[in-house]
Amino acid sequence: MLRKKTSGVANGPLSSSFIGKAAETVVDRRAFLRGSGLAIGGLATAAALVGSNVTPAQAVGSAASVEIRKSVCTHCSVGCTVVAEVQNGVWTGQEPGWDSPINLGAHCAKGASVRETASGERRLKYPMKLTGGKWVRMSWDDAINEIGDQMLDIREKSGPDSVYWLGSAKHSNEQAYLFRKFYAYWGTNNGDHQARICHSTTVAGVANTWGYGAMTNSYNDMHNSKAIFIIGGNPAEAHPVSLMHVLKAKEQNNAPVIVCDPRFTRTAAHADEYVRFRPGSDVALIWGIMWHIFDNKWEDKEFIRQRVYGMEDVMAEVKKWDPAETERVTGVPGAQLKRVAKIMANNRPGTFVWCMGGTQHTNGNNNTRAYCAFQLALGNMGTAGGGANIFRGHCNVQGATDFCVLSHSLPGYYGLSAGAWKHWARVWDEDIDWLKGRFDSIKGKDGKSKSLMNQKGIPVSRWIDGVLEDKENIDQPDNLRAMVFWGHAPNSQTRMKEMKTAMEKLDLMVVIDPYPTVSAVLSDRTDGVYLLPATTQFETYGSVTASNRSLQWREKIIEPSFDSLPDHTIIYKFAKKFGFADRMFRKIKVTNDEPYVEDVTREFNGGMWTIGYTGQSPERIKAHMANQHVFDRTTLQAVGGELDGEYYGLPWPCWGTAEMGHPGTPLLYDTSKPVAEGGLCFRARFGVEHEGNNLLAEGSYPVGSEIKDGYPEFTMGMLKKLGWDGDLTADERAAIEKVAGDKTNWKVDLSGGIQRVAIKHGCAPFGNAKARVKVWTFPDPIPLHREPLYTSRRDLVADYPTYSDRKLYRLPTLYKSIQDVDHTAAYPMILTSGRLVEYEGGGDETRSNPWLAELQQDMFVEMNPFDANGKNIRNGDMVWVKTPEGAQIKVMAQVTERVAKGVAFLPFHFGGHLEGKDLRSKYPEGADPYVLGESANTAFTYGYDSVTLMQESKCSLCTIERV
Amino acid sequence: MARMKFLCDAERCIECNACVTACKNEHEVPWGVNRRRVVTIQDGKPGERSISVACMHCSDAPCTAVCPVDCFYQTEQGVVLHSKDLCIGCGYCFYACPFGAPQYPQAGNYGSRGKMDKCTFCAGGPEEDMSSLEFQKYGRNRLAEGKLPICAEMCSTKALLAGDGDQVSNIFRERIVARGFGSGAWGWGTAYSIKG
Amino acid sequence: MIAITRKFLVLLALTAVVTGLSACAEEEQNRVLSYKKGTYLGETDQQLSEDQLRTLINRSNAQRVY
Repeated sequence: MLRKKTSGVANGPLSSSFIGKAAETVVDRRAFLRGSGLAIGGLATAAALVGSNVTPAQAVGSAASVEIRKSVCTHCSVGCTVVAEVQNGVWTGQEPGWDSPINLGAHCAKGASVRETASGERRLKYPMKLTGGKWVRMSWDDAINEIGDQMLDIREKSGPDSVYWLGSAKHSNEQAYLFRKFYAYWGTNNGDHQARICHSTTVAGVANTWGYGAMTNSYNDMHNSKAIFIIGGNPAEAHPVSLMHVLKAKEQNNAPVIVCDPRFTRTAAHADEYVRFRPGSDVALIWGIMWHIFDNKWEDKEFIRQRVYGMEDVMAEVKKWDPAETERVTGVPGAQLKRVAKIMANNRPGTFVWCMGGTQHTNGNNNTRAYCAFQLALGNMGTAGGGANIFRGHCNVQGATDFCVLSHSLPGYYGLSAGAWKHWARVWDEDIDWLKGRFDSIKGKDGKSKSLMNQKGIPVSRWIDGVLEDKENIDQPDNLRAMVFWGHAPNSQTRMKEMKTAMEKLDLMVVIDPYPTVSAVLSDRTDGVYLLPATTQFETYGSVTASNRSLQWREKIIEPSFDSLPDHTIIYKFAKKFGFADRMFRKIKVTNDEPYVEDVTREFNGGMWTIGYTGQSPERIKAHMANQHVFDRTTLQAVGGELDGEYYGLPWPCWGTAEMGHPGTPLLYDTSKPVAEGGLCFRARFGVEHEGNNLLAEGSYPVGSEIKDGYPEFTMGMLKKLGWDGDLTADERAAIEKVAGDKTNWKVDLSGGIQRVAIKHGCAPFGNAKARVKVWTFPDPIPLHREPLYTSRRDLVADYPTYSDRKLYRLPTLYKSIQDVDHTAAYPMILTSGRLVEYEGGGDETRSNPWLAELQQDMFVEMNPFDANGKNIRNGDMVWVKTPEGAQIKVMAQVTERVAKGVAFLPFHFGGHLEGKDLRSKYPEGADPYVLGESANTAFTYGYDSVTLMQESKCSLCTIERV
Repeated sequence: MARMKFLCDAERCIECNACVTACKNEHEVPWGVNRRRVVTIQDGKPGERSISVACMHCSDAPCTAVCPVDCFYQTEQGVVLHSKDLCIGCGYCFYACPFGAPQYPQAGNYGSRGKMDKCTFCAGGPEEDMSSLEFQKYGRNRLAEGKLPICAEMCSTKALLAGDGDQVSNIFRERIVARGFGSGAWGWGTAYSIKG
Repeated sequence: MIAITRKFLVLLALTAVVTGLSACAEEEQNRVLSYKKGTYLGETDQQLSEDQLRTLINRSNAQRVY
């Protein structure tokens, strides 16, 4: 039959065709994995189970008209617009969001399949509780009552700090804000979210360098970059749409792309220069590059003189990192680093991108500050095309961080001081004494009682220690006894075997999530676990902040699936149960237990003065979403029309009130524009002088500033001194007087008058100072290289030891005592981890999406052929990865040169297997993800950052053996 | 007259698989059937490149030539489609196709969409345009809706282009000029008997 | 006895053949049974209109975002 027609048959036999060639020469990751997973439980039903209750097949062709609704993707932080087609209340299709200046219609695998997230079958469908090892369905009312009673009992016996409120980077801004307010009203600071284990070291490091802890420029602004430097980040997989902007600069500006990573990532595949370095040696690498910059005097001396404090101390440290020492520590030859230094010096402005590879270390805050120092030395800050472009990982991790779903601050980074509480009590119209009465207290070292209201809570990275640590060693009255996992994947956290023990020791576990998550199955509990179904963000509405600080408004696409409820409704129900709903929601309209979202936005608009979340009223954000097409795709500025001059999404700080009409700040610290038009200078946050040196800017100021030099942050007293207080309206003056008279500063003035007047005179309300590369309040004022706790290089420990053991955030924290033990004989390989494009976070959501799950069916470990051959391991073999704290995971070996000799890589999105055991049967029926696998974090070990308690999940030790 | 073509720019493709899931989402393609996939060469090594592959809707399509029941036809815009009513699922087209495009369900028929399945360039098939029957058998007909294939329209880096061949090659040519070097539009020689 | 049976069998066979052949009619099978080599005999697809094509060409051009 093949001879039926001879003309026009394929140009050659199959073996010479393109696919044939590709298949013969290599086996890629997916081809390798795709074939192998067909027998996995749960997959058999997948083919039959694709789609929702009502499929588009039924809806298409029906007379129902198609409605278009806009939302924002719920995966990474790029902020891609999702355009949904809805027919008869069914989400029938997705169209490209062409008008979005951020993604221009583009999506990655996850964004292109979000319809399944909202309409899929494998959701947690009803409130359930674990009774005698079985999941039993219950009503919402019963669930809230039962859980509430148990919590109130714990509160009574052990104090409010024994309940832990673990929130989420998936909350909308309004939900994040309410959640933070909620655990304040409960009376604890024991609340936190993913930001702790993702960019906490960035936020701390960056905010302590120049004022704000956020991405300084935007994805779009990379169009202006002349060079792109990416370290510890794999945006091609973690933020795929950002690559559209990176590749534009690469192609059209001929901008060299430099990727520094221990692993040859998919991003590295598109780099002009790939620098492979040893995991955990970031500071050494950066100093090693800067050695060449200083050696050749390529630094921007004028920029440093005007706007940087402490650079000479950095220079002194960098001097130690000559090419020989840098190569000894990082493994990178000096010649390559000289080339990199030269590229960055010759192609300014260059942008600097980093992600988890830099942050998740015991000295993560040192890494992030070294990156800042690098950009400051080259004068790449505060300019289009430059900046510290910190790509954040979850759809609203920026927003949830800004609203401080954290254990160490109130919303807007106000901290936990008495003044901070007073400010928010004022915003909430709350009686400060009533709030104080909600909190417990402990005896300080001086024997005096101190309220836990002002003490940092336990961070999420350490909740297991809050349960397991001896009560006497924790600075709170009792251990944690109840955990609430509100949109959190436990497998995103290290030390999972200990976590299992901690879960079993708790009195109560509550999971509030669209999916059961690994929390439902990890422990051997048979009782006392509740699962409450939350909606996804596609079944509710509200604002969300992208990595570039732009706010976007999500419309509700469909009504909540099954019995699920939006987070803000669940928060209200608990507040009602605990008896403080009327206080907490006094300024917010509530209908059928659902708080009116726009009222929440307006409430936080009234309090978030520090970082300018005050100008983005719901109406303004919605207008931007409705008119996305008017914004320039590079500057993000609206051209013409009613929004003329405004920046897309009013990137914070959007100063003053909404009425003031500030356009948002597209690039932080950019002095080339007036503050009123989005310009800025470095923030005066660290005082006016240090050790006799001036910390204020010298001769540098935003265009149009009436003060032609540095100045401290604005207060009422300062306005008076400048003679500008006459510009205040009577109402503003009265409001300022009411707060603290002349001492009222720009952060606590609820009228926004001080900000308005300062900006009117061309000044930044937060002052005009130098950035500091020396953070004298941190353990290492100048960033130092320190060997990881589990280092493979024992020869470097003496020269670059870690910290001494210490107490941080209420808990004893180990450094030296762990590093002192040599594990390299039994565990000779370095273990690192990272993301895959198909999955996100703990992966419960994405592994439950058949379109994604099909693409990545097996958990694996990447190892170099050199190591594999040495252990007689072949591609596709099942292996045990064993780590020094006694954990082991059973995964498939992928033998590849992607990793260096002696390095193994694990993707971290898998869950549902534990040390070789399949836990599928423990999920509630029909709610198990299609794909399960060992969690990388079962294997990952102890280690926490010295400032933020970020977990170390990028550098440990392991050995790999055939099963 | 428009001639519809796909173009995958290997310098841009980052193997994010948006094209794959967008296709699944748009047409409700079941597990195990992949109308489009991404192939990576030199995986994990310098020179690693990825290409998104589906039916290229060849000018002189080999599948059409070998089909024993002549179930293929080509639209005026060059889109190669087939009738699932005629198809007997023999698999010859798979052996003939230089791109490995034809797909077959793993076991037996699934739903009403048995037999061979492949990329339709989002142009549905020989049923009434935009009807429910067309959707069930062949997937959505975006061309009839005035839209281009979803895989290209959602591509994260705009590596995958689809549409009128002249427009698409103009876009690509501009990129090559900006880059200062050309790597060729992957598969164009084979599919459209032109180089690059 | 034998003759009758034979007659009966012939009749039966004839009936079977006639019935079998009549079941081969294309309209009853609802599918194409006789092929013309190299010719597509399936249902005819609709053509895109000029307007649709113009929209598609414009949309092709709109992919030039970067």
